[in-house]
Amino acid sequence: MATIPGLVLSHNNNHPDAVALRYKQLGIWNSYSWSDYLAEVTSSTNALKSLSIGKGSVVAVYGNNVPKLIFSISAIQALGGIVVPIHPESTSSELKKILSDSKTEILIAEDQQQVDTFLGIESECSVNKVIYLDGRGMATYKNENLNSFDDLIVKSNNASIENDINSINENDTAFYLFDEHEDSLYKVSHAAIINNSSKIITLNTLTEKDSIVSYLPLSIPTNLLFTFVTSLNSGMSLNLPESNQTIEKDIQEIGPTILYAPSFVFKHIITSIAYRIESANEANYNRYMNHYKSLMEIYNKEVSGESSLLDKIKKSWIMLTTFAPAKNVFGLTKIKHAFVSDGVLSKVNFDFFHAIGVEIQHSFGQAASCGCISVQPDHSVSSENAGKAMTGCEIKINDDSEVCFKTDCSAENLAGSNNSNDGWVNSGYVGKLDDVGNIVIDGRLEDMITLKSGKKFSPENIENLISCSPFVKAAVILGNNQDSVSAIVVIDPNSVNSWADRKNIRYTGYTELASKEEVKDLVKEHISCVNDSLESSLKVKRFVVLHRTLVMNEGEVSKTMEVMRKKIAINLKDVLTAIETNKDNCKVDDIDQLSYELDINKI
Amino acid sequence: MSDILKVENVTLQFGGVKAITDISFNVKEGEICAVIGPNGAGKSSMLNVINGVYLPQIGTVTYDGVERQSINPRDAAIAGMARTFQNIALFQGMNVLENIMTGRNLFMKSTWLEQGLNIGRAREEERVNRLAVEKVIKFLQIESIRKTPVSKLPYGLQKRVELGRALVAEPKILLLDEPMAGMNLEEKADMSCFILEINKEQGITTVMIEHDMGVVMDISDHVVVLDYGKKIGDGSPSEVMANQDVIDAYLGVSH
Repeated sequence: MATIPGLVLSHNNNHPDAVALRYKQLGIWNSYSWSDYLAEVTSSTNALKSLSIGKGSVVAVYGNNVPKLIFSISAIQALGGIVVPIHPESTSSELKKILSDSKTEILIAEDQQQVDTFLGIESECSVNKVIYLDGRGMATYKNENLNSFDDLIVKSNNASIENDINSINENDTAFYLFDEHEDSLYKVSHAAIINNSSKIITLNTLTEKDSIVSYLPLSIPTNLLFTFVTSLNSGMSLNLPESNQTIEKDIQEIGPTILYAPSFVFKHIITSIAYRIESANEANYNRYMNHYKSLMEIYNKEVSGESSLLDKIKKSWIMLTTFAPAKNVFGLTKIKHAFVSDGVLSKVNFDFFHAIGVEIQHSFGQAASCGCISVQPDHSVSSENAGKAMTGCEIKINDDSEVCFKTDCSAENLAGSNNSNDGWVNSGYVGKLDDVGNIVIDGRLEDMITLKSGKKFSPENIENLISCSPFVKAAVILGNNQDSVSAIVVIDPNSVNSWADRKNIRYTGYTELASKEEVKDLVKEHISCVNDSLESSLKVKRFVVLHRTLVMNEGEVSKTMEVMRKKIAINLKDVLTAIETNKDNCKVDDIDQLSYELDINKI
Repeated sequence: MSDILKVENVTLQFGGVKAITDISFNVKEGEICAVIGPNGAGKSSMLNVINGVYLPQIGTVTYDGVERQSINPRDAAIAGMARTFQNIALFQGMNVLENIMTGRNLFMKSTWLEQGLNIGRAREEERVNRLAVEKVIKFLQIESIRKTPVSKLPYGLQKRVELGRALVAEPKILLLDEPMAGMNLEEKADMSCFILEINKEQGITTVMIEHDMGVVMDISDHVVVLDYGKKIGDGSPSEVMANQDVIDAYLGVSH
């Protein structure tokens, strides 16, 4: 009989003094033991009781991972309520959709930013109370539905909540999770998500001695499963960074043993290394480049079982002098398992992490499967697949090449339109199963591109290859009803800045940098390399270097930095039209109300 | 509300040059007072008179009910005046945390020996002062650059650090000398928010010199206009905007 608050209670009974949560505040790491954790949940529960939250009440938690918000999840559930995690950067239209679809009654918001977003749509949803954690900037707000969480806690008693916790059932709904791609909510029970995390714990032998950092909002279903639920279930410590700007430093200080991240985070690490190296002095730059080359050669030998003793010694030296310090900067020194979701890493990046001893394990899952249906085993050396189906899960490929799954830890679509038959759920992703049953994901079904010649392909593979360069932040592949494939390339401001400084290229800002001929040549050279590995009909023939990055607030990328094609097709329709009509350049009337001239380059 | 600061008939001369001529104005407790004027109008000199860097030849400054002709800058700081400078005056080789820590100087009573050995009062003082500094770092949202040397920071952030150093002194009145100079739009918006919050939520009276008229008209309660060392306008932003002398001083007048 496991429920989320029940897990807190049992940890408190079994090991009350072990560290449950760490949070950096005012420059200092503060620890909460399991007994502190329970005490915080108790006071939050009693505070929320005064708002008459009961069985089936829907309460949204809207913000970053701060301890109060984490405690309030268990508190809401202890009263039988259902938690709807919402991303702090959600747009008002997304917020409105989530709140009205879930029929949320009470909203717990982190600070002014979230409260302001909500107040803009207040009249359009059924929320009747807003509780905020940080009142900064809101001293003059007169709205009587606004309450401070601290005030509620002060006014409430401190009665034991053990009976409340024991009266909830593991089959009760624990969360409504929002799937950005499907644009709908999924109903997740305590049992389903806890059982799913148990599978991950057993597969990877995670223990209470491990530690994990949760730096992404819990509204991302995979993140909720891998960090919050898994840490509660296994008893390992959950670490929360001080702010979004300090994540890198905070991870370094914690040195976690388990890392969970969507693929974009690992890509970001590669980019960060690249721009630091680009701005290093000549000697260090050359040493890094030589060591990188040698390391990858040795790694390839290791994989094929041909490495000699000399290679081992050489690798130890390279690690000691170059990559161990680099690993330390990113807090990767103690990592035992690094789980990747929401996309796979390209082979170059995947191999690099394995070579330096960070065992990347791809996983596949979404809200409908409680965050995970398959995960690669430890020491897997293939960058292509996302592992085999976990116990209790089955995967098959239907006639449209769509991945379908069946799992004992499923989530029900709240709208009731679960596209399942006999328990099989269509994932919305295209893929295949390899010889040994590993699942290989190609991309989303709706994103599939068909060229004029009838050739059908998934753009994500090519995008992955293009964006594996540290100089490329994102790429969007186009080609529906076209003769050939084209790409919109978004350069990475940090690494391209460093590179341009190194090359003595003068520029004033991102837009000018992106329009430089040298940058276009850099991108062109990289795409040509990518083309060498592609079959002839899929070679990228034209590309545009975009004058800005893709904006999350505009919905152009998902919360896990995946390209959202529908929105891009609207916001950048001028670029798309110009490519479709074979123009050499185009004028873009952009979302900032300004016009930009972009060249369409040929390869 | 009562006046926290009264400047009465102040005249300041450097040799034969009159920087300020017979200026009087009052600052009410809890308001944001902007001092504006063209270059060379005597604005910075006025701030320097208020916190005692310059000694006026004629006139008095009444601060917090005490009238005086001169005040030592250190005494001004003890009395609760903190300021920032037009040209950034940070310790370039020190990091953000250390720079802001220097603003807590007045709260440190332990000797250098105790501090050097980290014994006795020094330990507790370090803890208390660090906490005060960390609260300001959080308020100004500069956690990520806590340990970065200020020389490596862009101009806008250095200005923010300077504001932080003034804030940790727990002042009653803040004197800001061109807090937005050289900033881009986004940085100006951030800085305006901080100044408003300091004023409205912490209740600290603020006197600021600023050239950006948009900012001045948006956030100040009271505007004093100087030109060639003389006061030509004094009142609410809308009154000052309608004042013909002010318009002439800014736009020029045909002769």
